[in-house]
Amino acid sequence: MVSKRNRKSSQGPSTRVFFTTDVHGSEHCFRKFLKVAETYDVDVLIIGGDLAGKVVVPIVRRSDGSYWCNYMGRDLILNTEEELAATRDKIGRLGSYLYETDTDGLEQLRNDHSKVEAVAVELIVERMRTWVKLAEDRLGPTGKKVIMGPGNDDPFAISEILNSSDVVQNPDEEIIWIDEHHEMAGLGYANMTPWKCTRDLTEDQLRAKIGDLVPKLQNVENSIFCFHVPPIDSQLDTCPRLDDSVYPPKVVVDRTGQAEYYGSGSSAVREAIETYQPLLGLHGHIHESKGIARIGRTTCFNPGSEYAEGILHGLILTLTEDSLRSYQFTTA
Amino acid sequence: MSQKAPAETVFLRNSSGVIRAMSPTDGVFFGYLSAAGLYGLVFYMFLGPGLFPRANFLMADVLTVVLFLAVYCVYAVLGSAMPRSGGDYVFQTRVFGPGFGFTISIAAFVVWGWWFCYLAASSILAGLIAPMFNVIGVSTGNHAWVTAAEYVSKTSVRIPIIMALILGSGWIMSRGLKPFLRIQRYFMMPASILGVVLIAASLLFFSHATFMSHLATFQHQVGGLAPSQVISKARSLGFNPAQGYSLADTVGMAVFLSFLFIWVCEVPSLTFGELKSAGRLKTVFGMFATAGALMFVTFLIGLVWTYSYVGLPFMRAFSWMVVNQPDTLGGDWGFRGAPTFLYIPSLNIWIAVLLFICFLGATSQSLFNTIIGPSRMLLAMSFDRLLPEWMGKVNKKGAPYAAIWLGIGVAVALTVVFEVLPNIAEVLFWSSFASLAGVTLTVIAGTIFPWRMKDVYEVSPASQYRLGGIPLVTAIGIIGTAFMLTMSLTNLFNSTFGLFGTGAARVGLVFAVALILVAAIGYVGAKWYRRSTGIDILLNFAAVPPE
Repeated sequence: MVSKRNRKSSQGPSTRVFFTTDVHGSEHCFRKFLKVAETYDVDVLIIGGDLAGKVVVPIVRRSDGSYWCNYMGRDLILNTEEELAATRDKIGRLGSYLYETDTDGLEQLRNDHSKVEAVAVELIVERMRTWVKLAEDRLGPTGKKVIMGPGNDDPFAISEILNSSDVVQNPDEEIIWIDEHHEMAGLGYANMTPWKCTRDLTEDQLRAKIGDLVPKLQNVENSIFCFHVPPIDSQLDTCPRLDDSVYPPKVVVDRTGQAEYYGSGSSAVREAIETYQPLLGLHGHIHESKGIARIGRTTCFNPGSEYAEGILHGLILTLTEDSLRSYQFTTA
Repeated sequence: MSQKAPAETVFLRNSSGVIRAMSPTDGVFFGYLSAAGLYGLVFYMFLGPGLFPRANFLMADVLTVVLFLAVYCVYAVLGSAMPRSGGDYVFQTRVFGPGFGFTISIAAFVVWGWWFCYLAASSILAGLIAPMFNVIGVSTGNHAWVTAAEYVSKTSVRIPIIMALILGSGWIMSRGLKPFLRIQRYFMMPASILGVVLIAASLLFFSHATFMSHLATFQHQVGGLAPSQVISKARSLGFNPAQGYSLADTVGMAVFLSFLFIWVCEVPSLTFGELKSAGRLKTVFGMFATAGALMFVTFLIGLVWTYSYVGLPFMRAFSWMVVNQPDTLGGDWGFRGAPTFLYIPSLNIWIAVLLFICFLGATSQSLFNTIIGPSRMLLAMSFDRLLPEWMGKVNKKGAPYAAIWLGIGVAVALTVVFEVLPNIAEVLFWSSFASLAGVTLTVIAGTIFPWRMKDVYEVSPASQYRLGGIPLVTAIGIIGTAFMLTMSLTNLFNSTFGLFGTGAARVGLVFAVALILVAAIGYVGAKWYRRSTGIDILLNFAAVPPE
């Protein structure tokens, strides 16, 4: 436990912000998120997108009352409700969703991908409801500001759940005041990826959305752009180039068999940052590109993600009235 | 009969994925070459019998390989649980705390990034290029080559060449990991394997009698002692090449081998963030074990050379005289080294050139890994705010260029110091044995990992493996810890390279301790400075229990 700091310094009072992103359904990471207010002594907590997990693990009821599933290459036979609960917990920790079904249900999933997506959305919504309720119960009484926004991987259905809470704020396509001096503009969309995700847009569409959002800011120079996709060629967006003419997309390799890397971020986001020069840019989307980049006077961050290992990567920012006093990356 | 594809048991949504680019095969190459597989033959076969004349090399080799499997297992558990770049620094900071990890890692950086960088470049020049020129000159009778060998051995010529090698490697590394991986995959590894094959082939195609006859010819050409007189001369100087084995020398040889085997896991772990399947325990362990097995096979061939082909008494006597009586042996074998010795069976100049190129492939990797490892360490520390932000700058190729140029810039400057003041170079050489202690600490970290980082352990691949109710990593870690502690303490108290050994060895170990103390002071200073700017370094690694 870290003792309370004297927030008033020679630079005036400050606001401490914790930013994380891309938890992808990991119960473990989200439950750590709920504790960071206390551990890190922060005033504002933000999850910047990609709240939903990626994997549905069917668990099949067998005729003898036991359950079967295959996870991480191992066949698991679960004989009791306790074992089932423990497995659900273990799978949920890593961001996957357990789907209870029978052999017919399993076959349906195998034969119809749209059924997989429908089941996944149902499970995502269910978990999101649980998360929002937990945030309301645990963080509501603390008075901390809790901001959770969708990312490009997240179905539109979760926006309703986020919007319905009076504790959790959804910054997507909105302006939120994180303290009396700093506004935050949020955008969960991304430029088109090879997977053509739910909230992937063309650069022109992204540009239009940013064009609609930013003018709503009262003081853009002191604002924060919480845009899920990082600016292009910023080192916050470096990843292997993929061939999206096949599914699933595969890595493009050169003649010597080595992967080609490139900046996959958004040119629209970069243009917006170059034009408007906010105080900060907070991004995610590319898990392996943890880092910091400066575009003019704007400092941009990507804390990275290792949700599948149960590790919550984050960033603590200390803001004074008109500047970024300090930052540090955290690994919980 | 056609096979049906296996039925899906897990379903992926239409969502973005994470892909890493360094393959486990690259990881095997990285580990094997970092442990100086082929060049390890220098220590094992050529110098080993002279340094540890009563060592049972087979036992030392088997002991080291088998017990290092425990070390590899622990590294694989830690790496698959925390698959990010930084190696020992990441593991030790997360398990023990930032003070520990920073202190040990900074000390390791100084030795590894500055001394080893110079040593690798110097070895290429002094251990390969110069002897190769000399062999060509002796074999062809063209004295210009011998003159060239003497010329590149002069301090005034060595310095710019070593600097150029370091700077050239730094330039390649500043272009990202990809160019290096290409060179490793298409030159270094094939060259190393070819070298091992050539050595094995020489056992098959050239008899012992041919070897001795060729050695006699070569010694005559270079003014050295005739092979027929080596054993008797050694005896007259007080060395008994037929003495039995001793546990002390066998363990001493094992310590020497340990110093090579640690790089199999320590160096690749620095780049886990770039490794495919880094989160899969079996893949990572398999990678380390395969590289270790390749090392074992390489040394096995050296064993056959020593025991069967050359003959143990002769090899012992020859090696002992290289180490202790070089002037009596003649032929300047301290300069020529193992690559020249391995050319003797064929006495064919083209095989000699090919062998030297193979050794070049094996040795040059060391130059690159002394740049890769330390720079990734500095990058991790910069992210943790223990070092200035500018050290964490990464270019468009993904290379931490500021950390790279800092490392090699100082190494280039220190080249002059090491060349002009070889005593300082010797001190750094002996201090590098303290790196065994660094690996020991990581093995201890892995042993207690299930308790110190319970939530990370429980979601890691290793959590499913238990032995008698305790985590398997703890059970294996106890074995690994016992082994590494034995190696470290044996190193510490060895009569040659320990506290009670030569003066330079003593100074070297004291220097290593002093480095750690200075780094500890640096850590306290960094922590204090960051606190004054509102950053509590301890938060970087604070455990956050899930709600």
